[in-house]
Amino acid sequence: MKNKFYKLIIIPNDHSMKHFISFRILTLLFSFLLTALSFSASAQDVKISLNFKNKPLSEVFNTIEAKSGYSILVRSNDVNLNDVVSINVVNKSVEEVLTLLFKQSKINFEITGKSISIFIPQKNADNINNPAASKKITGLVTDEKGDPIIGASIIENTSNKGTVTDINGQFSIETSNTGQIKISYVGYENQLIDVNGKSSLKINLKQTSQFLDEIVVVGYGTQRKKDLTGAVSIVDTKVLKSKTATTIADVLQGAATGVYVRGGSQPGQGATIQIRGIKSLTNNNPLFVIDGLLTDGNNDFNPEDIESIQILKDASSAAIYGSRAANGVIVITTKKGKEGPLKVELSVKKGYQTTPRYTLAGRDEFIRLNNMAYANAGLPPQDHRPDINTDWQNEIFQTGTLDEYNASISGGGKNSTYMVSGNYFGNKGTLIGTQFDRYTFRVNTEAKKGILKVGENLSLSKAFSTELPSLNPYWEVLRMLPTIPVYDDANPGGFGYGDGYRAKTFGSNPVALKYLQNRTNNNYRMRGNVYAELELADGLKYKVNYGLDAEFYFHRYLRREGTWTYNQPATDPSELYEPSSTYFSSIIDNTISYNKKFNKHTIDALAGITYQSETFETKGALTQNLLKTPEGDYFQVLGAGTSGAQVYGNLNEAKMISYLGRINYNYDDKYLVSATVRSDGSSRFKKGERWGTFPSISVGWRPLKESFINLPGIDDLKLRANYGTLGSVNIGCYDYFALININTPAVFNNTVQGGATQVKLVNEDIKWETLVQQNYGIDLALFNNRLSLSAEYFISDSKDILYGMPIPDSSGNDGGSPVVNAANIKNNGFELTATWKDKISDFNYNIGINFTTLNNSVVSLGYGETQVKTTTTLSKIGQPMGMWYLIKTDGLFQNTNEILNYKNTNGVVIQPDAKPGDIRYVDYNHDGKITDDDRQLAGSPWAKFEAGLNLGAEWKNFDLSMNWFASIGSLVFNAPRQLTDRFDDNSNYRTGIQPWQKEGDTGFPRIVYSSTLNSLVETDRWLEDGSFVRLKNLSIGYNIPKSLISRVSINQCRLSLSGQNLLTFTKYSGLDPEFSGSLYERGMDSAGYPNVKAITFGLNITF
Amino acid sequence: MKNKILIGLLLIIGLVSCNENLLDLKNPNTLDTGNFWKTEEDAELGVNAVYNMFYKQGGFTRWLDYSFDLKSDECTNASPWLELQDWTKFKYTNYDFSEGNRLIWSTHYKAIFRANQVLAYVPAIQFSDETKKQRILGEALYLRSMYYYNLALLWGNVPIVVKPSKPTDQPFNVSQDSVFNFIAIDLLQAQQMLQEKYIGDDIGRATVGAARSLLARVYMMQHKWDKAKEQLYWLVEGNGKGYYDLVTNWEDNFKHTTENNIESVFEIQYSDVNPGGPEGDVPGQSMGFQRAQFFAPNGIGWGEGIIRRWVVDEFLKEKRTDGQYDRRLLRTAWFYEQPTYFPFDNNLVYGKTFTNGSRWSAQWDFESTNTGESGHECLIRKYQGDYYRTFETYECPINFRYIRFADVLLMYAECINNISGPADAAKYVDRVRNRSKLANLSVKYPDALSSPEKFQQRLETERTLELCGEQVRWADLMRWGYFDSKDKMAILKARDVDFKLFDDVTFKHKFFPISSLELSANKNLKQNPNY
Repeated sequence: MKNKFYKLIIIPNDHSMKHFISFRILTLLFSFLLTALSFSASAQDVKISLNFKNKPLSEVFNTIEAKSGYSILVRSNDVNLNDVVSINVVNKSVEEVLTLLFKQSKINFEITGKSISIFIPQKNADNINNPAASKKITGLVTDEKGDPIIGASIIENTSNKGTVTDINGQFSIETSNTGQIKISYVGYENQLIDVNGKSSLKINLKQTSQFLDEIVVVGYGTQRKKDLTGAVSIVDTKVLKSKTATTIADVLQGAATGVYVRGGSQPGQGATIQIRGIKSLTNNNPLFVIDGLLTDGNNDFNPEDIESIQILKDASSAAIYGSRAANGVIVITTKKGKEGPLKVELSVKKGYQTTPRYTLAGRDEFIRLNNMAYANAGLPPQDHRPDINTDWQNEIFQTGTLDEYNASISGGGKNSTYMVSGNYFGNKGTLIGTQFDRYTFRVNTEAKKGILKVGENLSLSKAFSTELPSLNPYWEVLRMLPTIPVYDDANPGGFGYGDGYRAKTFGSNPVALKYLQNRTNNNYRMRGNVYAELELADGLKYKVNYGLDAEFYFHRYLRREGTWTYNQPATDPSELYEPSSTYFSSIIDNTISYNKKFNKHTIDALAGITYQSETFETKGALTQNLLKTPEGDYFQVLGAGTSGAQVYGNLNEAKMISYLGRINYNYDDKYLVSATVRSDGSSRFKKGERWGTFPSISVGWRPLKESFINLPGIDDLKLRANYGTLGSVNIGCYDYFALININTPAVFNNTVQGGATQVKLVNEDIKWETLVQQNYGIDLALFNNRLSLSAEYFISDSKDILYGMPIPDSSGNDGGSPVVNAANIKNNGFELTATWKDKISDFNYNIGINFTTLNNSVVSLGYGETQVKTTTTLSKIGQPMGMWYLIKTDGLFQNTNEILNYKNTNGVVIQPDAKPGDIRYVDYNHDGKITDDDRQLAGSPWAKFEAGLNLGAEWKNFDLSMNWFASIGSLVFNAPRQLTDRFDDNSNYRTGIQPWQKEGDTGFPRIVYSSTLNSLVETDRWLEDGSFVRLKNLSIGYNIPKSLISRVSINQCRLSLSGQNLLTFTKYSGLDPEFSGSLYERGMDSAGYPNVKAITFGLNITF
Repeated sequence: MKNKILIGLLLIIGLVSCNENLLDLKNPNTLDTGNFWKTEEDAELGVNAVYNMFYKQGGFTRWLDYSFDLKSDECTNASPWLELQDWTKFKYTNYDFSEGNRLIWSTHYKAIFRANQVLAYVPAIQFSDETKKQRILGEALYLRSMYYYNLALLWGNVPIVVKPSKPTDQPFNVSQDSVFNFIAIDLLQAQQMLQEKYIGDDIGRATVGAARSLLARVYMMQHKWDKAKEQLYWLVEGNGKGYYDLVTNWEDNFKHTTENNIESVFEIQYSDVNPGGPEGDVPGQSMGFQRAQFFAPNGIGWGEGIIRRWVVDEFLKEKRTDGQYDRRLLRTAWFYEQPTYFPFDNNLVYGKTFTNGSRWSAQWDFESTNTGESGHECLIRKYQGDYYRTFETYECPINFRYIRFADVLLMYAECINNISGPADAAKYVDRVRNRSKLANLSVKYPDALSSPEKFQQRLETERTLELCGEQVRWADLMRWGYFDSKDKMAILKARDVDFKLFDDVTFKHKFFPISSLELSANKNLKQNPNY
């Protein structure tokens, strides 16, 4: 159930002014704001004038608030804010105005200090009794999901009698047989129902599309979405419900503009998340703020606990997080309890996964092509084993399974709320030996008394995951030949692999890898915060928050004796390696906030100090030659090692002190200004370079509020602009210290003697990396708010990027290039979000489109350099990062003449060794040879644009949602194809290869074993269009009718069926076009764990 | 209201006393340069760290064998990794090929950086024993010279770095001759500082003899025969004579049980103390010789080290005085007809039967596939561990004899021949031949004594027979002018098809190209000519 709130607060029929209860977290946060809208002038001082004709009450209230500085609190739901009123007063006190306004109605008001509370006296509604002409009817009011709405107001039209629904959404009212009742609830459309003799009613309220009135959580506070001046994406939490999400990354994909998410489906594996491109060279991970705790968003977090997600994308919105926020901030609020009796939610999911597969040659096709490659090299064929026909993919791929159980209970009283949840998530991967199991447990509570509010959010998790072996099975499955048996007793350990003359390959048996290398992780994490807030005076609040993030990580590596590849020394001993680490981060925030409204001026100010201390300690031990059990396996504890024992340990610490401040100013919802500054001091820099100050300013304007602007048909329009600076310190704890390495021993006369020296060079003068960003945005609402549009354009300059920029090897540096303020990179991009929501009778639907473009270019590089090369890419000043830099190919030589005529300008035959059927390479530097210097720019790994399409529909008890994602225009390097198509070294081949054999054949070159002529790596032959359009998620839900389940006290029961990655449209020939390359080789597909297809069944029960 | 804000702010400041000194952290894990290089012990640890570079893949433990021997005309490379093959066959498509062109360079400069630290920081340390201080500085000079010598042989024109580096350094390269001159100055100084002999746990450190022999190698590269002879004289005839001789059993030069013997001038000390250990400056690191795993026949190892057939044939041209074939061949190579020539030997290959006439055995695929050789391949056997075990590992414990006395004698002979002709030179060659039961040159090859040229020709063969696969061939070929003359290059091209790609017009292939990544990181660096 999601709430969109109108400006005013609802207070149930409780006459105590001291405690008002909010039902939902957003209400709560909003109420902070509103409480703050107070005014110190006395009631007699202010005189106001009003002139309204047939305007809704809400508008009148708004105006009174704005003109008088009073806060209006609506204490009961029976006051219908959409009631139309007329009033015309000049220079009257507020009290006089209100008296006049409510003269004709049942509404009462009270003025306390600067607050006006509006209510209908309870007895007016309940005690009216007119048995002669009336009957009693009962009813249930629910939202679109069928959840009961608590506190909806029901008013009998003729008599104006009214009541509100109870905590089960039930009401009863006396009415005349022919009357009408009106049901209303803030954030929902009113309904008018003819009683017509009915005695029981079921009323379903539909949400109004007043999306602009959402409250969003920004750093250290909240803000109305309509007041935002920065670039903030709000993830539709409906998406959360329909997706089968293991991690936060799964939730985010395609859900918002400017957010790049890539990651395979390896169980428990994290994904790459980048917000608005590459801004740094070491770490582009965004900051996660979960309930105010600065942390990361890895796989030990239960996505079911998410209540809302906001993504702060630009400098001004993220500035309050200063140096932590340069890569963007993902603000997550977890679910909280609501007032009411215990509410229980249970859900179960069961899913199945299948991996995409390569289409590889079977034994006969392999042998035919392999013999041809040998024959072309002038060699006799291998002595293939005819008795073997192994399909290696069948050996290592399996149907994966997903199991999830989630239970939560929540509720609360007037002064306190609670939410407790527990979750199990299990995933057996599509690759043998991969597994992920997660248990999470969460408690969120909050309590209030007087001016004090205290609360806590705490989550505990245990996650188990397996790691892939040292050699990637998705790669080795290509290198293994169909003529190799899976098992072979002749080899140590009993696994089959390559053989010098029968099946020559140095590929590794992936089944053996799974058994012989056992890598697992256990991760225990405790993450939470406690806070206390004091309202020192009206609008002035002091908050202290203490957050703790403790992580205990246990890795385990068991190496069994045995071999997995040809030529592997059989003598490697069994080994057990168990490193463990402890991470502690504690944060203490002290903030003070002040909110004030003065006529049309609203000020919201914040100041604070935070201190974070982090320690990361690792300890590990290794032993070899493990004692064997009588059954022949190993005793798998460190104590069972009989030789080679070693221990490891180290400690890293970092501290940061920050001062922060922010002022938001709003004039009449027309002009919005926000200024933020944060100053951070980090222990990661030496004295003198430690402090960085990061200011930002942003402005917004709503032209429709101007009297001289009249744009009919436009419901809302806001223009925004901002400019800000952020910092970054993604470096090691001690990067400015030149350290002595004590692991440099030497042997003398067969005795090992210690050695110690400086191995790695350092730059002592490293300083803050900064990001300067401008953002221009427009928000537009049209067609009675059914269509909303948001567009952003941003320019960001990353300066003094901290990075281990390559230095000459002649320096003798080892252990990674020293960190230096190495580069300036510029990013700019355009983002568009459009959402259409409408209803056609009982068919609700919404369509959301998001669209992102991103351009980046290298502005400068450290040490005065102009470019950074890798084997396949070039990052050069003025160009985007990691452009393909390869030798270009130009078809095949068809005959000897073509080879001899392929000359440079001096008449040198460029490829004299080539034979017909070989590839013609472009001699880019015209030196008559094909060398490294013939590499040239060969395309961009960057997508021209990425887009998401979200569709949602509801009809009666059915709902449907769909999420499409498209990435268009990137060039990717298909490294797995480079393996299956090379033929110079043995591997399995793609099925259907038709090599060149005679003049006129085109396409695939001549195949030759042991010749690099046609297998050069660094050529554009392996580049492919990486564009794809994918149905990331499709889900269908069905709510079992209440009538069937209410007898067993179930409020809601939903069945769902969802599918992930069911459809993909792409020309890319690799397993999965949706992958994440490295920083400099962004488009390099190195056969990582692909995205899998999944079908998941779900059952949700609420009671 | 303002007062309240002020009170609030004061409250915050009162609650959190954020002292900026909280940000002063020390690395709790290890020393930093600010508190090291203070004591005698630091100096000794520091110089040991230079020796530690012997265990890095870009140095003696792995890739130097490829660059000095497999690349030469005596051997070839049958690696299944074709790019690695191309690298020893002058086919340099990718100048940044890590194993061939980056790792050796970077490993050498890492060693130089470590030596430079010793040379920069040790002089300021107070020692109770001045001799020890001199020795440590001398060792650093010697070790640095070894690495510069290799760099000069492989890349020719390289930067000389003499001080501990800073990340901002962008040194110029200098000519090969300048590098040799630089080394010569260091080694002249080092021999004044080093000790003539060590005992106990210092055995294996650089000696005066090692410094003089290396200096002689440098002078010989510059054809400064007099100066070279003067250095070698000390070992052969002079004050150092008592320290050096030939061991009786030639094979003892390639076993782990007979290390640091009287024939050793300088050995790279290896150990199998950390089996399966990782590479790098980490605990439990591998400290063995990795060559054996790479050169062992397929199935045991990678089968990458192939001896060219002409070398084997050269051995078979001459019989010993007792009528047998030269037994050095048995430990230099495995070859197809071995049981024919050495019927008394068990002729096992890592404990498995040697099958004459067909494949060597079903297990051992020695047949030529891609080495350009017709017929059966011959494998390098020197430094293989098959004399004591039936498998190989990446941590062979056999010390590599960087300079041994037989080499010194042959170098000495070469100097004398260049100064005064064969007459005085022959006896030093005979000393080496006699150990292997071969007759004197005057008996067997009287024509070789007829002129310095003919003697030189014979000496070249003698060096192959004695030293094949011991990392001297590349320097020999360079010194003898094979990389400067089209005619001489033609000889190499005839012996070894790998030289097909060697450019005999510009002779650029005598040096590796400098990595383009290195060039892009150092704007003062120039690429080698014609690349």
